[in-house]
Amino acid sequence: MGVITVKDLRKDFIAAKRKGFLKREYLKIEAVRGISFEVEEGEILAFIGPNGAGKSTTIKMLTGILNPTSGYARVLGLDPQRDRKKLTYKIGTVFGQKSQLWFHLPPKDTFELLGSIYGMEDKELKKRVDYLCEILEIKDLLDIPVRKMSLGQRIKCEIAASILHKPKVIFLDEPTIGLDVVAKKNLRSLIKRINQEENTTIFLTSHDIGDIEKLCKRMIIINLGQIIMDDNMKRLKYNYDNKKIISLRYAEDIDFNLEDVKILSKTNNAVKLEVDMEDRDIDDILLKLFKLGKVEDISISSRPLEDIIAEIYSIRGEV
Amino acid sequence: MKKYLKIFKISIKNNVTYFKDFIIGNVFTVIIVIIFFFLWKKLYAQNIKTGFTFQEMMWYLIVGESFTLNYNRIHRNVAQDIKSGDIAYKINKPYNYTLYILFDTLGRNLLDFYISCFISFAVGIALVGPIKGYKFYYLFFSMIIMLCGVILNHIIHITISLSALWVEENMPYAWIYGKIVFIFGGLLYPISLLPKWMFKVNFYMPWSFVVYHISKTAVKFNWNDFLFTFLGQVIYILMFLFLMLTIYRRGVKMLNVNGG
Amino acid sequence: MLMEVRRHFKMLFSYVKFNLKCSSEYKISFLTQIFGMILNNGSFLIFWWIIFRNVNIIGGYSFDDVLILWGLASSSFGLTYILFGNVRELSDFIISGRLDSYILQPADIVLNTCASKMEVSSWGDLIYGYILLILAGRFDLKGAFLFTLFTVTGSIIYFSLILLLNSLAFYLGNVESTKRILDMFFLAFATYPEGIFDNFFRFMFYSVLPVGFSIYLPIRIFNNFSLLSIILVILAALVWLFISFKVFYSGLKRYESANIMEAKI
Repeated sequence: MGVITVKDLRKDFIAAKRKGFLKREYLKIEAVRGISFEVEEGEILAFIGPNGAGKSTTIKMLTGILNPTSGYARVLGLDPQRDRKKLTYKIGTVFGQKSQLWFHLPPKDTFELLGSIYGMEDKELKKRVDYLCEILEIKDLLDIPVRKMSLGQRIKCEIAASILHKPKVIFLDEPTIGLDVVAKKNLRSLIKRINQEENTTIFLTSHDIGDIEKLCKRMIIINLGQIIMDDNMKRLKYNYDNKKIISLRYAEDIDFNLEDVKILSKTNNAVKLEVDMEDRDIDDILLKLFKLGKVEDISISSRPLEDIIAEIYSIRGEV
Repeated sequence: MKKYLKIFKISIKNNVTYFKDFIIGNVFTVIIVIIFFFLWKKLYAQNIKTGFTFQEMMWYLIVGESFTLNYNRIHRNVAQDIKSGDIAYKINKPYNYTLYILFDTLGRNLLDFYISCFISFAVGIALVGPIKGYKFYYLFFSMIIMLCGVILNHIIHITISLSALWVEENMPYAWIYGKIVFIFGGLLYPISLLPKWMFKVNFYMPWSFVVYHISKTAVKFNWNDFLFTFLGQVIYILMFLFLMLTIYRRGVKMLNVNGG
Repeated sequence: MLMEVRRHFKMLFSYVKFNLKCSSEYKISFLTQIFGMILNNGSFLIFWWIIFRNVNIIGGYSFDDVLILWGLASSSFGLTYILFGNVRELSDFIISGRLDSYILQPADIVLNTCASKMEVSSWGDLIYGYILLILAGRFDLKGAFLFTLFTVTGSIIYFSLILLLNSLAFYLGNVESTKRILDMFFLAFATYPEGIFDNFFRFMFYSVLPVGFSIYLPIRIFNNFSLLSIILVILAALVWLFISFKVFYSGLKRYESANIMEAKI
């Protein structure tokens, strides 16, 4: 049995639209339209989709914030609404820019407060904080008021606060938003570490493709309230990543007349192509390219994941 | 004069935004009047000597309640303009900053004032009925001193708000003045109930010209009281106008020296 | 169950501790707010002093009774907002979806949300209550005990009323004006002697607007000790608490997080 099991989960919102002074028109908005999936223990799953796709509504139903309109959802075998209290001990959340930390106080104080909320004994809390200090490298930050920290430092403490109670599942909503490159890289390795150290299941949403590429083995794409793709990362790349980008620079001006390739850009002696590998062999194309003239420089790359995902949105979006 | 009139008009328009707070304020006024009604009925049952009949006392308190307007706005705006340095720009405008504030808040508050008066009047009629022998023209003359009282109170508040030129916060002073009006200005009860010497001192103080003299004259109208109140108000208005403008000019000079 | 209660007490204690730590960082503002509130309440004392120069009894209350009346109203109001500074703004939390982070924690949602803020000036209200108790000459063992007990029950009743009004936001959306007006009603009546009002109002005080159980009945007990009445006060507090929590939690099922806002655009 999976850590998270979702079957035909739905959520409708009724929005009242004012029409005239007293008259109101009611509008049904189907935010989530019957999704099903399963997440195994220890998995790092990317749950992505464009804005308004139903990502946060789904997370909110899984964490007990929202009542589903219909369908079945279990997290660690618990019904998120009925067993809300029990579940809160077992899950942790980092929600976008919403902070758990007290702005004017050092994180140590927030940890103490959270300890009292989660009913942890002082000894147990101290042990846990020591442990988190070590793996998150926040020992030096413990006594500094949060308002004096950098965003990167703050998010580390934020994560510490959300896993203080040793959750088995962590929901991360846009954890790296606003961070610089170094801080992002740091944070990703921390997330990986948390996942490995305690075999914690991680449910991640992000707009940052880098997060997904570096962290996740599996990805669920949701759009307009429906799952349009649920696949292994490797297979995804294999299936969709059958186009290569080839850039070439020749020593002299050349006359370019190749069939079956898409030219992305071209100058007198340089060219950038997109080649569909489905019906072509790479050596065949390269051979032809080399024949055209003396090659000074060449690079072959896969299409960025970002483009692949954008393409999936646009192909499957209109289902 | 025309430009101030324009400010006044724009203000009335903006006032709609404050409608909700204003309604709640009026509901509160009505509750307080009702509570006072019960309280003073019990007090009059014990033959309390106040110089007013029960009916007059109720009208006195009701008139006073309609003076409760939003003055915090003045202090907030002035403090904000000084802190942000906006006042430095407003100094160069072709109008006087303090007069701008005066007409701006008057524009907002006078509308509140008229509606409050109307509501208070309705409550008074419903609770205790009109005072016997009250002439219609009393109302007209009472309105004059009521208006003067509102203007005087505004000028005093602006004068106090200018304290922000020297100290960080002007709210504490506004608060103290508010409490003085409350206790010694006759808002909660006629100050004639105070111990003799306190009454005598406060009788001539500016704060009793923003509530006590007005309410008393409006309720027990006679020409002597009317003239005394009106003259007192005119004198205090001129005094505080002078004070306000002088303080402002000094403050501006100081700002110029400090470079804003 | 007992563990749960203990855990929640510990949580409230932590909240008070850290809220104090936060606000005492700005010492001058902290003290000004507290003393300002004491002075503010004190100004009403002058009113009553003036009135009682002319009469000895109002609606069955002596000057000392009025002191205790004011003291009780002030300190139960104070205690409520020291412990639960957010209860007044709970409807905003409901409408704008700010309950999310509290739903994600194992503590009781109402207590957790409300306790996360402290109204600093409320310390002034609480202290003022005890100052009046001393001024009324009732600061003996029995007086202090009763006063503290009724401060707690009064605070429970007032808290319940405000919680109930704010919980209506689950059903009605914007309740800003309604809740402010009824809050005002309660506080206005809580500071005048019971005996001046007519039967209609007195009926209200023991039903819809619980001033009777939180302030008036306790004052009668102060003058005329009765165990039965004390039990009645405690019972009323528990009933109010129960009803308000019930209303909140049945409303919570309709909670839509921030999605109401999104849907409106």
